[in-house]
Amino acid sequence: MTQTRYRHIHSKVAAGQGVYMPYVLAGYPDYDASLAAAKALIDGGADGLELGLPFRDPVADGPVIEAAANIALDKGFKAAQIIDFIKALRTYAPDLPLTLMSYYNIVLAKDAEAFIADLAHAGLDGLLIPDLPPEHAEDIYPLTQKNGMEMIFIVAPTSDEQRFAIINEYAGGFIYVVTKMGITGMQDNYDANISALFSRIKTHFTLPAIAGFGISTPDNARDMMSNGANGVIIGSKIIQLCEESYQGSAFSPALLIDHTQKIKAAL
Amino acid sequence: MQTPETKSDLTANTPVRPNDDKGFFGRYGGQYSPEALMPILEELRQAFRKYEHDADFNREFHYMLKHWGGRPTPLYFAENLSQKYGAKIYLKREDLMHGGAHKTNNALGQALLAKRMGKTRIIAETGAGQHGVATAMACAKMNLPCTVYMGAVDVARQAPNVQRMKILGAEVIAVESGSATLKDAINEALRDWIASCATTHYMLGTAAGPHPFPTLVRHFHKTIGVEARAQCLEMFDALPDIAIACVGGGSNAIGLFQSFIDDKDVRLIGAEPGGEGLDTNKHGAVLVKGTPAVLHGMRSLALQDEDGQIFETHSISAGLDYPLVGPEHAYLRDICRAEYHAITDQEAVEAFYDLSAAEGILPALESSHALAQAKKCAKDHPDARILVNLSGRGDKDLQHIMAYQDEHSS
Repeated sequence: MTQTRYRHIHSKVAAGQGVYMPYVLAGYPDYDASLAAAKALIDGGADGLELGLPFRDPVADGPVIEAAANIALDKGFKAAQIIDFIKALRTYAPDLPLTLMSYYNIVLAKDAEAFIADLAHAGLDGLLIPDLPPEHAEDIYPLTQKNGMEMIFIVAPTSDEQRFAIINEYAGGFIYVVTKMGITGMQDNYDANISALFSRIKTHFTLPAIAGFGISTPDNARDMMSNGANGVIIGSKIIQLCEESYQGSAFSPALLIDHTQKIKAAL
Repeated sequence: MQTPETKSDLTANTPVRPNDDKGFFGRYGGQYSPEALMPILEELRQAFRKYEHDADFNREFHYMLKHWGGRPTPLYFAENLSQKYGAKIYLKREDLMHGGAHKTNNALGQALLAKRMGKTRIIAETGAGQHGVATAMACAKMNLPCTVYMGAVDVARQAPNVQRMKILGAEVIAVESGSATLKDAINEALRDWIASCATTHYMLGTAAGPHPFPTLVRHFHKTIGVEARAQCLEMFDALPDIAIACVGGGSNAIGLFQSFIDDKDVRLIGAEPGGEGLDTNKHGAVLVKGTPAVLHGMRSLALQDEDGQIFETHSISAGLDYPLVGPEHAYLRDICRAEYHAITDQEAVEAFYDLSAAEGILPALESSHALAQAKKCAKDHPDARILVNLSGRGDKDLQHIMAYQDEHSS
């Protein structure tokens, strides 16, 4: 289906396995610690990573990710550092699908054409821009295509079949399924019709449907799988674990490795 | 006149889209929103297009504007101020509207629309508190529960408006994140809306945000320009030479400008918050100093760093303290139909005292920016007829002006 590293996700899903793609915020708690955190998630068995680029006005994210982004930026994180971050992870895990989640304004400010070429060259597989709906995807899509990258799109409980069709024109890699109406965070109140949402998605998309928003525990992950997800994304909980693993300026990977293994076991 | 950025114009290669109701003004506008909001924006767009020219809707809207809101507001020839400034100054008295500012037009219009859409709850953001008050008034009348998000800094500097909102039955939530001003209040309101949009209407207070908001808010405010244009013709049988309004997000300015855009001889000028000066980082002059950006659902201009992080802005006037601007103003700037200049805190405060002393009218600090711009224009054009949109009254600002005076006299 695709020549990008998402093919590894696709083959796992085809083999009936659930995939786990945790979110790590670059630069939080600091640059080195965030790199260590990403490696710990890989060591724990993550099937892919979602890398967050800190933004001070993350309207689709909750207070945990916003506060972490502000800490990363206050410590001097610059968007250009994401290139080295990706290169380091690509060396560490040559086959691991890497997705960058960035708000659109950063991509624009860094000069979309040059930035996307640099990201691809560093080894990025896909770009998820939460405030770039498919109606405006044409702004960016030719650039990701030219550089052999996928664009990842979100499907929400309110997305109807008409929107599925627009999303389907541009979506690659996987479908990021928002499992509740709201922002990222750890509340585990999913939309009541979540299994209906997954079946709707599966009749319209061939891409794996990965659940995000409001998932933090192995129980949540199991729940999502039984509702029809092909895998899960965990974000805010990872931020919290990063904070707990960061003492002084030393980062200890044990908590993240343990959490990752438990989530993997639940899938 | 401001010319568009060329070197750093990130949108230069973006094709200008045809007007297919996607909300573009040249390269600006659009719907840059999270997926969860896209269906609700479409629902709102359809409702707006349905009722925009609906006779029953407009009858109710204009009845309420007149009998509840106090429209039309007068046009007033400020003779004493004209003598002081050296040109003929005409004030469009939006300060006399119910609630004390133009904001009531939009709040009333959106409340009526929300009712027809079957929404049972209203949320809003507010900077100076004027939109919050207007929202609370409209919701009290329409029997809709409402929650107003307001930056914690603004809650502190606009205490009287916070009290008014509470008395009118609104819940006021102080937003502590980021710079704790209008930008952050909008972030929180958007987050609330993403979770609650099935039942809740987000009553955005300025002509900004994702489509259809810039067009919808302009629509409810265009009565300002329609009245002012007719009143000018009636009063002096001509159009003004210059029309001036203050610009934060830009709603009162777009409402005024709308009726004059085709009158090429009328100079349109927006007065932006110059804060402590454009050579400092304490200002909010987005149209003078901003670069293309996407935030709050729109492509527009913003004050930002090289990584696209949006700056915290500064203005003595909470209502102008916004690091972005409505997309249509960015467009009017680019096509050179309107010009935008910065007015410092000091100049605005001087204009506040000028009007108070000369005419017995206390202007809002926001509107004082427009008056200060009129003073500058009068110097260069002593015989000109200058129309100033006096967008609001200044009672809410007294405490803040006193504090400013204390700080700057010691």
